[in-house]
Amino acid sequence: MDYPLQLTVNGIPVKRIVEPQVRLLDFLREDLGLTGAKEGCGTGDCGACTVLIDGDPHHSCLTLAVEAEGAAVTTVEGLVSDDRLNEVQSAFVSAGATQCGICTPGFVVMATAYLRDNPNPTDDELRMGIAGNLCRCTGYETIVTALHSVIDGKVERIEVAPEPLELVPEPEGE
Amino acid sequence: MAKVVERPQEKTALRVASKPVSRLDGIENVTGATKFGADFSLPGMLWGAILRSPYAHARIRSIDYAKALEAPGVVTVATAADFDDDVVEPTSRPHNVFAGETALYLGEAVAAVAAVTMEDAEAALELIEVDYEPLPHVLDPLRAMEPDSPVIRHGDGGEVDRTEMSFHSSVASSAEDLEESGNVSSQVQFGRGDIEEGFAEADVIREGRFTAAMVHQTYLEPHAALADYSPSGDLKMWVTSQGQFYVRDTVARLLKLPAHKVIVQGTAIGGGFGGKMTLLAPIPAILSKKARKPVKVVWSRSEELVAANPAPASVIDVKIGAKRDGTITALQGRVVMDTGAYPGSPMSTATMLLGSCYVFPNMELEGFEVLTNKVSVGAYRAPGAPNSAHAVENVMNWVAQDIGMDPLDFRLKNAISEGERWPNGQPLPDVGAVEVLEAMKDHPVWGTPLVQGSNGKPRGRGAAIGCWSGGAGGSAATIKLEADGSFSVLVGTINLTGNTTSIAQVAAEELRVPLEYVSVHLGDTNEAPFGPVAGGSQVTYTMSLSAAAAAQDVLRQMKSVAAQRLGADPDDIEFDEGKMWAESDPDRYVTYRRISDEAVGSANGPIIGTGHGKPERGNPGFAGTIADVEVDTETGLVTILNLVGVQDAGFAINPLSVKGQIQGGTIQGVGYALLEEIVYDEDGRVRNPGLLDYRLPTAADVPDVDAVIVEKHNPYGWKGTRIVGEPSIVPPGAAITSAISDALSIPLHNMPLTPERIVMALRDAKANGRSNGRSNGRPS
Repeated sequence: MDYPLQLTVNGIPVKRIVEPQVRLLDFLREDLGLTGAKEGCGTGDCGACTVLIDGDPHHSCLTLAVEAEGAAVTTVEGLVSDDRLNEVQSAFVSAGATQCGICTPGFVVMATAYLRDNPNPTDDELRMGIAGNLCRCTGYETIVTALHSVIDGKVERIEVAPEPLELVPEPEGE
Repeated sequence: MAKVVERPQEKTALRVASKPVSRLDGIENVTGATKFGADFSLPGMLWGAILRSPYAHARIRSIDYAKALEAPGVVTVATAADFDDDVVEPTSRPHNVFAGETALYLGEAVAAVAAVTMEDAEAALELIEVDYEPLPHVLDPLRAMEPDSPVIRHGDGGEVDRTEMSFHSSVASSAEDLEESGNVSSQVQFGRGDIEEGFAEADVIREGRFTAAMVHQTYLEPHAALADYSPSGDLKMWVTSQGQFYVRDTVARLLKLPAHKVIVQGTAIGGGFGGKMTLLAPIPAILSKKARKPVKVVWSRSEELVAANPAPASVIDVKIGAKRDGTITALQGRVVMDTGAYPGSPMSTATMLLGSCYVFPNMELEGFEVLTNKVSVGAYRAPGAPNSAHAVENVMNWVAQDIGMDPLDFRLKNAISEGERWPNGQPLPDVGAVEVLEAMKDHPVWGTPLVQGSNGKPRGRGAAIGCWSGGAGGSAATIKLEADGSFSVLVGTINLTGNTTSIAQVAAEELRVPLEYVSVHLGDTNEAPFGPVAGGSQVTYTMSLSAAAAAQDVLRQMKSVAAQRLGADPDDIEFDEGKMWAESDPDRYVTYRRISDEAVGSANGPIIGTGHGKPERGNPGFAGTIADVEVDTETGLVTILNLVGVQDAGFAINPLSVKGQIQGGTIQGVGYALLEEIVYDEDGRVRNPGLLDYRLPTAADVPDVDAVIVEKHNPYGWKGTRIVGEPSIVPPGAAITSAISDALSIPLHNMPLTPERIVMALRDAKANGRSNGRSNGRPS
C-alpha cells in the first residue's frame, strides 16, 4: 500500500508517495538522489548511513522512510552553510581524515551531532562516541585528531568555492 | 616524526613535493559529493540479484528458470550457459562467472536475475529451480592434502591464471612449479646451502607451527557495478574496482566484445585493499547485454563475507637456528595455504617472504597451495606477507631471547641489505631493512623499559619487521595546458586513497606552479591513457614517473612557443611560477596563459603532453612495528598500550598521506592480530557474515599509531620514491602476538588471538604446569 510521506530534507519540504517497506536510506538515495549516505552493511553495524532525524543521529538503513513522517532529516549534503563546510567537515579535510572516503559522510554526520551534545569529551569518551562508525583506511587517528581540533576551537570553516587563479600578471603593454 | 636517512637533494628547494598536503578531493568526500560505485544510476535501470549455491560442493544437474522469467518485473536471467566455453577458464574464478557443472563452495554464484526492482529480482531467485547433487566436501587444508580426501576441481586442471597476484608483486616468486596432485594446486621450493649443516652449526634452535585465519579486506563499500549495453553494441560500465582496464579486458573477453566497445569508468572506490578487481562486473554486463537495458548490481555485506575473495588461512612451520653470537645459521619453513575453491593464492610469495628479511646462509622452504570447498581467496594488502611475518618474527624473538640478545640487535646483525639475495635468487637493490630497524631502536618507546602495571594484568612487548616486494608496472599520463595557465592531468588509474593528490604534487613540482593550478581527472578506458591496477603499492611509484614525463613533454612544447615569442632559443628558456623567459633577458617574460593562447591558434595546436613511466625495477619496502600490550588474564582481553609503525617510504611525496597509510595499515594489522576471522561451520557455511560478528577494530579498540617515516633513497623512483601502501600491514600481527606471548610467558601460535584463544591458551598452560604469571623468562 502506498503511503503519502511529508518531511523536510536538508531544509526543503518534500512530499512523496512511498511504499511502507522502503528504508529511509533508499528513499534518500534512490528517490531524492541524495547519495551521500552510504550502505556499508545494511545492519546498523558500520554507521556509513548515518543521518540526523530531528537532530539525532540514526542509521537510515534501519529506519523506514515512513518513520520520518513530519521530521526534519539532515544528510551530509545538508551540513554546508553559507558556502562553507561545517567545523567537523573542515577539520576532516585539514587533518587528512578521509582516505577512501566511503565512511566519511556517516562519520561527519555522527561527529557533528556528538560534538554538539558533548562539546568537551575526553579522548576515551570521544573514541567511544564514534565507535559505532567503522573506518577501514585511517586507523581512526586522523579522525580523532580532526575532532580534537574542533573541540579545541581551532577550526576555520573552509570555503567550498575555489578562488579564480591569477598567478602572474601579463607583462605591461601586452 | 620523520627520520631522513639519505637525502639526495635539499627538500627546501622543492615546491610541493615532500610537503604534507590535504586531499584535493577532501571537500567532495566530506560533503557526500564523491560518487562511489553504488551511487550511479540510469533511467530505466534494472536491478540484479544473484542466486548462490546452498552446498559447499555439488554437481548442478540442471537449472530451470522459466518460472522466474514469468515473475513480476523480471526481464532476464543469466547462468553459465550464457558464456562460451572457449572464454571460460575452469581454474580461474575471475574468468568463470557462474558455477558450471559443479558448485565448489557454499555461496558460489549459480544464476543472476535482472528485474525492475531489487525486491522483484530477489523474489525471482526463489523461483529458479536448480537440481543439485551434493558431493563430499572438505574444508580443512591439511585434511584436503590427504590421499583419501574428496577432490575439488573444475575440469582437469590445466594452466592456472595468476594475473591478479602478479599485479601485487613484481618479483618472480615461483622457483619451480612442481607437479600438481590431488587438491594441491601448486607447490614451490626454495633452497640454499645445506640445511642439516646449518642446524648443526646452531647453538640455539627454535621452531613452531603458526596458523593465521581467513580474513576479509572489509573495504566499507561493497562491490557495485552498473552496466549499460546500447543497441550499437557499446557497453558502458561504472564499476568500483582497483583496475578499470583489467575490468574492461575481462568483460570484453567474456562477452566477446571488442575492447574499445567496452567503456569502463572507474568510480571513486570505497576501499579495495586488493579485494576489488573483476569479481562482480561480468554479471551486470551479461544481464545488460541480454536485457538491452541498464543493470545495476550491488552486493550486500553478507555476500561480501560469504562470496568475495578474502585473504587466505595458512598453516606455517618455521624453524630457525643461530649461534650464540647472534649469527643465523639456518631457516626451514613450510607453508600450507588454503586457497579455497580456485587456485590463485599468494602461497609462493608467502613462502619466499619467509626468507626475505635476513641473511640465511642455509635455507629450505617449501609451500603448498591447497584447494578446499570454501570461497576462493584473493589479494589483501601485501598478500600472504602478514602470515609469513607472523611465523618468522615470533620465532626470531624466541631465538633472541634464548641467546640473550636484544631482539632488534639480533635482527640488525642479520638484516638483509643491497646485493644479498632473496630465496628466489634475485639480488636486492638498496633496501631499507637496516634503516627501519635503527629507527625502531631509536624510538622512545623502545628506549623506555616496559613497566608492569599495578592492576595485576601482565604487560608485554613485541617487535617485528616485514617487507613487501610491490609492483612496478608501466603507466602513462597526459597533461594539458589550459586557457588560464592551469593544467589538467588525465590518468587511467583509479584514486585508491589519495594517489591523485600525490600525482598532482608531482605535476605541480615539475611544472613549477602552485598545487591549485593542477587538477587530476580519471578518464574512462576510452578517454584515458592506460593506467595499471591500483595494487602492489605501485600507483604513485609508477605514475609519478609518467606524470613527470608528461610534464616535461608539456614544458618542451611550451618552451618552443615561448622561444618563438621571445625570439630566443628554446634551450635558453627558463620558467617558474607561471611564466617563461630567456636566460639572457630575464625582464621579458610570457605567462603560461599567453603560451596557451598562442598555442591554440598555432599550427602545432593546443599543448598536450604525454608521458610514459615504468620503474626500472621493483624495490621492496620494509616496515617495522613495536607493540606494548596489557592482557586481562580473566577475560583474555588485550589492550594495546603503545603502537609504533616505522616504514621506509624512499621519498615521501606527501607525508600526510604516507603517515595515513602507515597508521591505517598498522590498525588493519591489529585486526589480523586480535579480532578478525571468517568462521565456517562443518557444512561450509560462513557463521559470521556480518560486521557485528566479523569484528573490525573501532576507534575505541585502538591507540594512536606513532608513524615514523624513514627515507632511504630508491634510485628507481621519482626523487627516490618507494612503494608505500602495503608494507605497514606486514609486521603488526607478528609484533602484537609476540607482545602477548611476552606478557603471558607462553608461546602463542595463532592469529587472531581472540579473548577466547587467550583464555584457552592460559588454561592449557596451567594444565601443563607452565607459569601464567608475569616472569622475565620467555617461553621455552
